Amino acid sequence: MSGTTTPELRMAHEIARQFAGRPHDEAVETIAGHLRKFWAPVMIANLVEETDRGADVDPLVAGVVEALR
Amino acid sequence: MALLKETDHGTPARTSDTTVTVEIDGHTVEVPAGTSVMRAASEAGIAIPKLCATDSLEPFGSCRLCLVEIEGGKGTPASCTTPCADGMTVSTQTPQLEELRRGVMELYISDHPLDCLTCPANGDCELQDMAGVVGLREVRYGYEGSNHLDEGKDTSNPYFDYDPSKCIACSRCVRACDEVQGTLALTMEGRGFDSRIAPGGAADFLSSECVSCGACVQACPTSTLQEKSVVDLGMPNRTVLTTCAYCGVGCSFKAELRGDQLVRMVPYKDGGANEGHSCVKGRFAFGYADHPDRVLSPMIRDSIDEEWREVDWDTALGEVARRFSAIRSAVGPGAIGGITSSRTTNEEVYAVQKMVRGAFGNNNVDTCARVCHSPTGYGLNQTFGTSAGTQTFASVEHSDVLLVIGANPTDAHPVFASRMKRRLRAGAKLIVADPRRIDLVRSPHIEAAHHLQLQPGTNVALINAMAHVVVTEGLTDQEFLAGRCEGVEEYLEFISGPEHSPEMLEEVTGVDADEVRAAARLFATGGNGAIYYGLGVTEHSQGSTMVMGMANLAMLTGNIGREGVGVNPLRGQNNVQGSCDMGSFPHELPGYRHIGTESVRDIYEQLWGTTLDPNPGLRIPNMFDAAVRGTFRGLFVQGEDIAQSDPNTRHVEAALTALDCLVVQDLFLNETARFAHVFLPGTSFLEKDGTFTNAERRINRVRPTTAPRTGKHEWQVVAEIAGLMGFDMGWQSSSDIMDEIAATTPTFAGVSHRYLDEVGSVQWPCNDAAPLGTPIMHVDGFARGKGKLMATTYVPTLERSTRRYPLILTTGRILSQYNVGAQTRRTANSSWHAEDLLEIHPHDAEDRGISDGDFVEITSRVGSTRLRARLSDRMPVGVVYTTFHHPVSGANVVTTENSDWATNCPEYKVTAVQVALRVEPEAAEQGSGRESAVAVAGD
Repeated sequence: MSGTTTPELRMAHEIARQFAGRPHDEAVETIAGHLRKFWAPVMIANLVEETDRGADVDPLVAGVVEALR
Repeated sequence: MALLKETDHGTPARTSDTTVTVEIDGHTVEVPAGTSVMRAASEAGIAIPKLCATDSLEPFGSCRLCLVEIEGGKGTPASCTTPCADGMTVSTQTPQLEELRRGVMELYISDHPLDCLTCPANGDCELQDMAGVVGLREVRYGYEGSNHLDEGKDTSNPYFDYDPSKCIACSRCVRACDEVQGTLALTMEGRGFDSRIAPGGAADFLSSECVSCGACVQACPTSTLQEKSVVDLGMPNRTVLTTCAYCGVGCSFKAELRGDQLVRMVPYKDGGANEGHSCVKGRFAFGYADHPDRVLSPMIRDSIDEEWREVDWDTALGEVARRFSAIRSAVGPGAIGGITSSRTTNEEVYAVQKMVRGAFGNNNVDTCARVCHSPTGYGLNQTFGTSAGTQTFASVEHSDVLLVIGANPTDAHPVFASRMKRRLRAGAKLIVADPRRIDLVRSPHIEAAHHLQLQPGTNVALINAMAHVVVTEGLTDQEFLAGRCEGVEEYLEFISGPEHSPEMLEEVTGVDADEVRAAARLFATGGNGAIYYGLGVTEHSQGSTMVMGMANLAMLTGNIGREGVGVNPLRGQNNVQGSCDMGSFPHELPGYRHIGTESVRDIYEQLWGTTLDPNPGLRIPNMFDAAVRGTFRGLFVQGEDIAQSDPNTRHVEAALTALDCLVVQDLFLNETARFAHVFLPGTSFLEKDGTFTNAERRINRVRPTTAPRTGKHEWQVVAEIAGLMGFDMGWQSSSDIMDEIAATTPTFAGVSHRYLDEVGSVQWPCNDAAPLGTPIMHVDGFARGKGKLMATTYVPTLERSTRRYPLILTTGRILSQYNVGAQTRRTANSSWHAEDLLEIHPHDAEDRGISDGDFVEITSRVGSTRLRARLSDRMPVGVVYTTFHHPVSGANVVTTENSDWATNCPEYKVTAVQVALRVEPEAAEQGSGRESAVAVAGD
């Protein structure tokens, strides 16, 4: 992830750090569930949009974004 | 009501499995074994004269006024120190006793000023009362001999005077300081005739270790220790029972008034949270409510560059509704939102969230608990199934081991700290986990068995290490785990890994592995183990993880579901618990029910006659981000100074500046109001009518001592705004709001103002299943069924010390001040803490050429500010500390945008900084030092 980032990307990566040691699919499911439960839809849309614009995201966040589409 | 004077039974109540029966003046009395004759008599309606006895203190037996005769016994023993024995026959009024008492009173009065008519305590003096009770008619000794009548007063304390000429040397003040407060600041100097109360070895009260809790003033039977307000205004003549508006202990007080003039706040003996004790803030620091800085009229302006214009309420509320409606129409319903406050009542919080959901049409409502205890809500909900502490405060009296993590109760929650200290003096063991050597670690008659002085930001590593020891050394409560918990096998496998051992984590935490092992063994095997924690747990990037880690430790050791155990958040503000309970999180309706749950939404949709958005709304930091983006344009802020209390102020100010409409409702024109278009004056707690819910889930009544000085209650203001936006809130009183809360929230189903007036207070859940409330949670099962053990992987914060910023800053509170100081800085409490100081270890100071009292500049990657240094070895080398009560000095200027991963609670407690001697002291005047973002730790 690049040094300058949007709030949603920064927060998504911070959450992903917490689950980095888990199996990929389990972590994706857990994080996506967390975001659906606690994030406003507009924030999820921003995250997806930033990723689609080519933002530098780690594989776990990329997996979460796919799960959220 | 008229002035309320509680019955003083003379000695404390005793609990016992056995009772004894005695006969007192012909009345048969049955009492628990251990009860004094004095108390037994009092409970039978027989008042034995007394001076040195009061039922908040252990009996002392010095005044010799409470003498009685016991059939078959010798002499005339003191009834306060004589326990009842089965079959005892007692006489309290005989000619011999009457003569003895008159003789004693003669001696007291012979050395007491005869100025009753001009004495501040006239009408509230036990010496005066007893002189009447014993029938004193003359003093045979005259007043010419040696006496104390000319001794000078000590008026140094801003709130009470000490007049030794009126002292009868009963030692009640000394004992109150010892037994109730636990500070041991007072002593009886000299012997016999030279006996004199003194504030330790200090010259006067102000410079002594006295913490001005007021316990000595409360205990004094004469006017020796007397509130200055009583001296100035006279004795009060009526009482309003209400609840303190400072910390989350939620002390009950008698607001004692003379007409509409508040004379003093006296702690209420029947208050469930405080049982007659108080601290300097609740007892004395109420003057802000009448401070000339208060704004009492609504004000508006077209832009934030203009001067404010006072307007009437109709104009102001019309302006709010017009602006918010315009934004809603132009940009969409998601472009406006509201922020509730933990300083307002449950009813006021509920009103704001209803306005946002019903009138604004979205879930963009959040509360200032976001920046303090939101991780508590998340962590305890995940593990236990409900977002609240598990115990009553009184539960600590049954604890054997106290684990205090990231909390400084003697400063931040002083009345509960006094309970804690009482239990510790009685023999309970103490483990403190804190980077700073807080007072509890070593204070009179108390010494922590273990002080785990961990590096800031490593809480999760430490709690994992303790759990690792418990699991790998076979110290778990296997029956509890098997019967009450789930996820056990997975968790045990996780925590047993060698990476969680104290030895492996020693370098991370900085805590000696043997010390961690010993502490873990003590907690697991020492009897009832209770965990108490504060913002030193929650305000971290892993705040929620740490809350779950503590819950894990409690479950592993079976320390849940009975007296003396539990996981207990010490809430910062008076109504943090309530503001969270009332549905002011953007993903939850009242009672912690997710907005996405259709059956829950149905309840409100049917009652309110509207359709609710099923998706979570924006949290406070998300609102700021959206404002900067231009998609969020209007904000209603009640009782919260977000421009001071939220991190990364540069960002916050950019967001507030970008808004088309900012409405602030507060007592004072705070920092946030600089960006506001409408200012709505708020009410102090002395004008509010409603309820607060404290850290033990206790719902207490807040009753007005006077009508709102602004002309409107805050809930009325909110309801009128909603009405002008086309949404009828439908209330005629604050009581109606609580009725609606009860009708829609299962955990509050049995609560109403009428019921609270009847029973005093209740702890939720309060419903048909628990009509008297629920003092202890999770007794037979967890709220979620089984407790869930959660894997708590330690992930270091991204905020780390570097060569450029080699020190770690952490923050806390001091006793006399409260949060950003908006209230306490407008009282005489500033006598004790006129400015924030930077505590720095002498080694770090020496490296930088800093001496005690120097002005220093503290810089992080976010900004810098200046304050005065205090050299202290309370902090380890490499860690500095400050309080955050004086925003003018920008004490928390350097905090960053890092936050708890689950809740966005800011990471106030870990900031990498550099500290340098400020070479131009003339430029370091307070208020001129801030150069960048100013953020003040929340809560």
